[in-house]
Amino acid sequence: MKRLTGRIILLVGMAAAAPLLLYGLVSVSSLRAAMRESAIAANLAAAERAAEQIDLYVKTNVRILQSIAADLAGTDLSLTQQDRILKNHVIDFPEFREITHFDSRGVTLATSRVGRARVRPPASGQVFADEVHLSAITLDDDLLPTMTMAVRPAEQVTETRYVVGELSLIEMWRLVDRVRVGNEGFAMVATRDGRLIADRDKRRIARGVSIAAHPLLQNTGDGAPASTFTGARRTLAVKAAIPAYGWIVLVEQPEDEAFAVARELEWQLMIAIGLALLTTVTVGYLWGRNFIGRIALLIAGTRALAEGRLRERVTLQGEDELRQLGDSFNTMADRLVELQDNARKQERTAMFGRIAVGLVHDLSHPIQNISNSCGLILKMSDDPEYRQTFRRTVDREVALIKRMLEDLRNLARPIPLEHFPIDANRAIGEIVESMRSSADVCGVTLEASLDPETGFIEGDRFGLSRVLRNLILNAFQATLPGGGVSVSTERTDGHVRIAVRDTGCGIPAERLRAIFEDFETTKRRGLGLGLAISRKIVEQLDGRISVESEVGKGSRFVVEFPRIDPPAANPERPA
Amino acid sequence: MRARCTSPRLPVALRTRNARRWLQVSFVFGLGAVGLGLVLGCSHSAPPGVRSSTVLRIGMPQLGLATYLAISLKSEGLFAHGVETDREPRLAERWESLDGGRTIRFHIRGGVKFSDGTPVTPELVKQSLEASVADPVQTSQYPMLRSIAGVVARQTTVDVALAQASALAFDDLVVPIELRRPGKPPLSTGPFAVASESPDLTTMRASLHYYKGRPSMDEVEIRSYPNVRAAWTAMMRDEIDFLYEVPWDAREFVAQDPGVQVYSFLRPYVYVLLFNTQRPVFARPELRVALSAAVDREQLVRTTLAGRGTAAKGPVFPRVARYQADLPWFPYDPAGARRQIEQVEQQTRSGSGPARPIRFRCLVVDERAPFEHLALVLQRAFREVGVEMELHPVTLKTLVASVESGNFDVALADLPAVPGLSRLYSVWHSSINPVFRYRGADAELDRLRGATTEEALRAAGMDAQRAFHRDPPAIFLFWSETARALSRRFDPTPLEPGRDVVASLWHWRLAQSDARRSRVDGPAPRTP
Repeated sequence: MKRLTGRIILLVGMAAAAPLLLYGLVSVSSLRAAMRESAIAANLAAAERAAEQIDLYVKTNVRILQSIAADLAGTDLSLTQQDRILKNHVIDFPEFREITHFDSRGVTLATSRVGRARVRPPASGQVFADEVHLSAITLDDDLLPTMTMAVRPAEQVTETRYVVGELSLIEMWRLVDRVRVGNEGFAMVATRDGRLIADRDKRRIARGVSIAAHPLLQNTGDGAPASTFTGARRTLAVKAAIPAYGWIVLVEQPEDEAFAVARELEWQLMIAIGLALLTTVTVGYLWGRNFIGRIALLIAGTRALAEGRLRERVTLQGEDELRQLGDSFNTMADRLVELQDNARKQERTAMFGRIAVGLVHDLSHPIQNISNSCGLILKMSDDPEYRQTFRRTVDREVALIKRMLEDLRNLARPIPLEHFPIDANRAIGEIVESMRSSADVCGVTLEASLDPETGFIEGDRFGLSRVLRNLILNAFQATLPGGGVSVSTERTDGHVRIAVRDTGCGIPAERLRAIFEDFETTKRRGLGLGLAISRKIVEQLDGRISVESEVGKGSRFVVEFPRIDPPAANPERPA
Repeated sequence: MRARCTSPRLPVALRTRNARRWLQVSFVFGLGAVGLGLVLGCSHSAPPGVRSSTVLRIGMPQLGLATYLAISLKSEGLFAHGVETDREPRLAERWESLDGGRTIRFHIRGGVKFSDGTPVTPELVKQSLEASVADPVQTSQYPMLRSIAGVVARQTTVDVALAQASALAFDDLVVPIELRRPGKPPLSTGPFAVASESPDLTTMRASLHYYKGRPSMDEVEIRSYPNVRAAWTAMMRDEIDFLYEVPWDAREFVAQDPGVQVYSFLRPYVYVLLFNTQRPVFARPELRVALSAAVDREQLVRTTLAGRGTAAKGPVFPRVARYQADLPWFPYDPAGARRQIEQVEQQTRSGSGPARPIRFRCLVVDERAPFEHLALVLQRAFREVGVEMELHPVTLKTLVASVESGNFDVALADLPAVPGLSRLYSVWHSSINPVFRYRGADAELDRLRGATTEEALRAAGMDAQRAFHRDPPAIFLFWSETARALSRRFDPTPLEPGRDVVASLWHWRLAQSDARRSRVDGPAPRTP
């Protein structure tokens, strides 16, 4: 039953739970990877968009400055006019805090300033890209980001004039501050050497915080995300470069927020899979319980039959094969009952027949002998010796009939036995000696081999005599003339063993099991009650009887009784 | 004393003999009036403070400003001017006008003490008022003190007799009440007292005898920095808890700092382009009126202040109690301005020659971006109506000297405008402030001074402002917002809406979390 249950669990597990679990693992893994990629891509897109906007912002202002430079160089404007143009530009483009035009010697030609120019022409060796000089970002007195850019009027070839503008990068700060990824994801801008130039936390800029150790600043590859720690929280960081200025836009977001959607979906998926698993297991359990329960009913019914309770029936629900099996089982049980009744009737009939035959057989001889003796007595009534002889014959046959009737009576009720200590060897020796004449009549030798250490048993002398006489007499009858019968005793652990061996025809193995049953006999005459009564006597004396036999070689009956200590003084009472 | 200023605040009193004194007057008047007025104007009762050793570190973005904040923290007068209210009781718990307004009787609050524990008595109040009347520095700041004819101390009251009944004279009786001691600094009645003073650091300790209760903070340190950047950087480094002034264009970034709370309010200073009416070109009001109409003030607020301000309709601060919003002003009308200027040019041409374009020179304080940008915008606005304004960068000292001597055409500056109509009188009446050489509203201002009732005061105030519209001494441009930044370690509540957060400084306390920490660990570390 356990194996069947195990197989059904295995079946449900393999057929439903395992694929579901596998599907869940694969789905969660795939979802996690996809969502991670998605979050990284979104953050990267934010960083790239910010980088593009910053780049565009700076380039737009560079173009404005270049346009101003072109205006100044392309026309023959007076210095006053140039001065006015620059002032107007500063008003119109408030990103420029100052625009100044320098000649090749660095002398101010025109400036938007009311006072002296603050900016200076670029010194040699400064960063130069696309004819534009860009200074490093500095913080002005108001702690706001400022950078200086210088351009050369395009058609100047003979002298190096510059138009220099001081550009406020407040808009870049605003732009960076506007970059929000989720609730806690923010952007920052740093130079390649790690100097922060825009960050949500202005304190870090004011303190000159360096993020040179940031893994993304040390990693020159593009797009590869990195995990860092902000305090105790793991942070997802991506970067986008602005190569023209050597700036890097970093977008950082705590991973627990970046992957919150993924985790939520994972949870939902795991919950769904868990529910599906639970449902599968529940359905499997209910189905299995129903299935196995009906099988269990069938098994119980079978066991009941095996135990002889042929009236037990199984009641199975449903319309499936198991129900049909249950119906078949019940039909079979009905048939068994019917067959058993028939068998009993036949057996009873046979037994009565056998008993009748046996009785007829066993009684016919004594009755015939009695009848003959009675007839002869009448014919030869004058001869007292004959009368006496026929009288003994009548008495013997009557005794035989009585014994047969006594056996029949003992078969139905306990044999009255008494329990006294008996010297086993002495009792058995006397029995053997009393049987020697019969052995002679049968033409077999009777030997006794008695172990002097055999000791005492508790028993009834008459009962013991009845058992041994029966066994020895059976041995005589099974042994052809010339054969031998031996009786032996021996002492075993706590027991006295008595064996009767013959060299007779032996008993077939298939009959050995029933040889001690009532009305079982291998002989042509008799009711077959001798061994049954012998077993009953032995068992009433707390002993046991067994037989070993081999057809053609003979049989060996063994009787064992518990050994007792010898009585203190003449305990043996004559039977 | 050395002083530097972020903006040129022009003189109030001509009697100041030199620029140094003049600057002192300007600063004391400006910051003192604002700070003292607002601080003393706070009428809240003391909240239950956390009794722990607490130090508030204040960063001043200019050298020299600490003195004036210290004055506002240590001093109190008989009453205080509210920003949007009239007068609020302080050392005097009430007052009444007697003798047709010529005498004001103050009922002195009982239980008030100077910082050394000396009780404030009517006699000491009388002595303090008389000393202030005799002190030229005080009369420079509070010119109406000169109207005091006598002071009489009684058992619980002080009677101030005025030379003539004047509602305006009442305003300047706000002068701090001090206990002057020979050879020692005067004692005041404010929540804090100066413990030590140096150019970079002024330390003030909580007054044990402050009548509203001992301040929550044990000590206030006022640290001076050479510029806003240095002060802000100090705040970023947690070296200070309170930044007295946040640059207007940096405010949005400071406000993002989760550890800082920013408080904005409209600064009671009006930005003006001051005309020298002694110059022939500005002698007649037509040109001044035309130039006033040539300026788009709303646009100025949007471009120069990024919207953080209010266009000015005149010299009266729009948050004062008697502000009249329905006064005439100068709407932006460049075409009308041009026509009027052409007429002026025609009237001023010599002989039969062509009309000469009007040109004049504007003094602008150098190295101050807001003023410079403002000057450029005005220059272009005037150019569009045919007037050429030459910009001339000068130092603050030069600008002040030039205005004092009358050696200027126009000057770009900002002027204090509180408390209310009394400031209107003291700044613009030629007898009180002859520096500006403006007499166009003297008659109306005289009526203002003579007003003894609220109705007469309002009527005279409106007349005076109409006079400013008819004969403007300056182009009144705008009022700008300013902001303070306070570490969230401190809790300044309760606040008064629209009021400078400094007004409640005496009852600031550590925020709950920091208060708990302070109780366990002692004062917060000064340097992280």
